[in-house]
Amino acid sequence: MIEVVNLCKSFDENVVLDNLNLTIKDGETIVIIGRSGCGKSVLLKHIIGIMKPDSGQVIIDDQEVTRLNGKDLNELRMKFGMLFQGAALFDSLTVGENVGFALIEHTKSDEKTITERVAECLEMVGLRGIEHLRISELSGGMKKRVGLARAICINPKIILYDEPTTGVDPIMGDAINDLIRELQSKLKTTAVLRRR
Amino acid sequence: MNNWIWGLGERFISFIRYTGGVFVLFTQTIFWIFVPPLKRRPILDQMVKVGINSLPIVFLTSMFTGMVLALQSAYQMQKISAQLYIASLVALSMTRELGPVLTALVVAGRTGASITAELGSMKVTEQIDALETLASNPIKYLVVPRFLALLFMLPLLTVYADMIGIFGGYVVGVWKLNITHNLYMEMTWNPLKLKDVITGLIKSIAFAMIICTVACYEGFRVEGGAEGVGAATTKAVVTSFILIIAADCLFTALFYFGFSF
Repeated sequence: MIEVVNLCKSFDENVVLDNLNLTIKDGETIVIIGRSGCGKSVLLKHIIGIMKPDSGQVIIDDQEVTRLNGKDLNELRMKFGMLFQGAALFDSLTVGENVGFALIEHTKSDEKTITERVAECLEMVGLRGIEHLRISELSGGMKKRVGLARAICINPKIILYDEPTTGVDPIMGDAINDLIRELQSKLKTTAVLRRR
Repeated sequence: MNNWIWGLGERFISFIRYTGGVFVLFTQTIFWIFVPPLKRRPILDQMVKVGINSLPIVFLTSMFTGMVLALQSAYQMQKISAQLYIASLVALSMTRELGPVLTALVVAGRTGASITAELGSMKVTEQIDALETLASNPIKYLVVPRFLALLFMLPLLTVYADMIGIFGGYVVGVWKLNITHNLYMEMTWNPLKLKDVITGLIKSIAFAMIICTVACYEGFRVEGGAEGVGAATTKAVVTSFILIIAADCLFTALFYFGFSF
């Protein structure tokens, strides 16, 4: 469960989050909608602990994210998957290395297990056999789907989607929406979507 | 008058904030070096980028510097029939000053700029945020390999620059000024002490720390897309140049007027 309690965040004199309260239950999918600059991204960044609030708390499974640091925060982050608006794929790595990044860096899994898991995730997003491609060789829609494969690779309990269908054509947008629904029913994850 | 004092105060605060930020990044980098695991592959990749790929430009810079140094000093020394001392002058200038400083400036312009541009692009495309969400520390993953690679490769590049610079002087001395091979070599090695080479290497280690920390700090601070990346890259190179020259001045004062070893 994700609980946001009296969350406040300002940038200089611009108040972005003002005593925000929100509860998201396990397995629930919620969509956050709002104008540009109203603090949707800022909220997602607080939930995953990239940003520290001025005051207030974010509690995930009885752990207060805002108080965690270092190893504890990283352990909590392993419960998360996040799809960024522009996919945020590491362009110095191949598709396979991107998708398996968390497994390569944080688990002792052998190469065969990682390769199989990467192939499985890419298949789930409909991109079989592109592990060896460079990020620069992918189209916008493919990047989004590879980003999604990376987000689900460690079997996260919670997935955050930052504008998942922005910048893709309507057909691809529908395909991504279907994929999100399918993943939610398959993986039983909690999902937070941000949309303009 | 009030505005002027206000502006001065703001500049001073931003200077303190900048210096503090660079220092904090430096201490965090040292901390993360000792946090396992330390993967060899990214460090080796960076060593190739930073060191091996810099060899041609360091070769050209040092070769021409050694040659010009010999030619310019020959012009003066001929008047007092002391051309022979050109060999010593080139050897000492290269090992003590020009080798470490010119190599550091070349590497700051080439590698420092590329580090800032790379990290800056990663910042504006949210790749740094993505690293954090994937439970990886950006300093451990991005800064530490670059820092260690520079720390190891810059002293090696400096030794290489020293040798090439001395060879540049040799080319002018032997082929243009008709100094014999044996005499030129004797006049090169005789005045050269181990201290000259070691102080040059100590300087290059400090310069490596400056180049990497400033470049990474500027990269992490980038805001506002491609324009921001360009501005940060320029600032990283200019700041590194200033700090390298200031540090060189400080080290020279310490080694040749402060310590005696």
